[in-house]
Amino acid sequence: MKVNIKFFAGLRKFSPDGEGYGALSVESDSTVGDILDHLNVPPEKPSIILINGVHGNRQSVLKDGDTLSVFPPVAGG
Amino acid sequence: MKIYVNERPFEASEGEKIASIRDKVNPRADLLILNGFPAAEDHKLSGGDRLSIIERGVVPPIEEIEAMIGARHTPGLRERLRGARVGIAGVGGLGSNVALALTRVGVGTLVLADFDVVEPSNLGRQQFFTDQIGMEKTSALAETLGRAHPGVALELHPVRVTPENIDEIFGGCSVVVEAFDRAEEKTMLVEVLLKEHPDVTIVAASGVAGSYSTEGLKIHRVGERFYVVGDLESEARPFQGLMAPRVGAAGHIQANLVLRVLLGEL
Repeated sequence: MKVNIKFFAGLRKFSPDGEGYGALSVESDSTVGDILDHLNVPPEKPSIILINGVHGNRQSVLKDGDTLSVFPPVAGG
Repeated sequence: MKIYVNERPFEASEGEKIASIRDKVNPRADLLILNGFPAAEDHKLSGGDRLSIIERGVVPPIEEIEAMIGARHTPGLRERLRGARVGIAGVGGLGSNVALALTRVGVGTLVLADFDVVEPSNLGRQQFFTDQIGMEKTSALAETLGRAHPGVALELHPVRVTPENIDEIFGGCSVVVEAFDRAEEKTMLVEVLLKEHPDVTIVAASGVAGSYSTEGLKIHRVGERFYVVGDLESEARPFQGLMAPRVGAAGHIQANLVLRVLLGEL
């Protein structure tokens, strides 16, 4: 199945196109964690995970055509 | 003829002078503003004139303040915002600016949460003052907001926001502003809201430190109801800390985003 990737800020370099975007072919029933590991995203960075714009987490199972967004906030405010 | 006194309709006689109106409304008034500019008391009024009659040092009644703030620039706006309830998580460099802007524009209720107290280093960028050092930030800010507009309803939570108390603090808010400092706390708040309050719109910030160009302060729609203001990269660090102009600008972009959400423009 295919999953769309949308990575923000410091995670953009880990996306398929290196700019934050791209589609990825993955096995059915892949979890968010599987995909992040596959793309070598460092697990220690605090990040907010969304699937199709709503809440997700590393254990969430993806479906064909889903969009996985990952946003790592930086300090300051 | 019909004129407006303190933004309320008023029936005046043809050619009536400002002094005459002043004596009817408040003889002690010592500041007379006609159509936006100071005017002499012997000036003759014309139909449609807008006259503000002010007694220096006296806070006008809240209804009069409401009328005078609202009528001139955006009639009807404040009525639309009066029922709104907005949460602000963290009232530092971002949150104190967001709160002040939303108070001034007329948001009805603000829920302020911050465990911290005002200390001198905060004064470089946050809306606190030297005589408030040592106060809880929520109380100090409430004092300032009340001076800006006594009609704003405030709920103060001088506690650390945790996954366990988010519902209790921000329940009933249609919008919550994420204005924390630490990345872990930003993540925690947004995750809990996305998961447990999917109907709430989140207006967060990330990448607001330093003196970099404010053109980098973009609005990113990360989720369906999740917006992030900032350049996403400029982390607060030594020699590139949070500075009043840029973090204040980011806070005001957040406030404008909240306003647009409340007005149904997004």
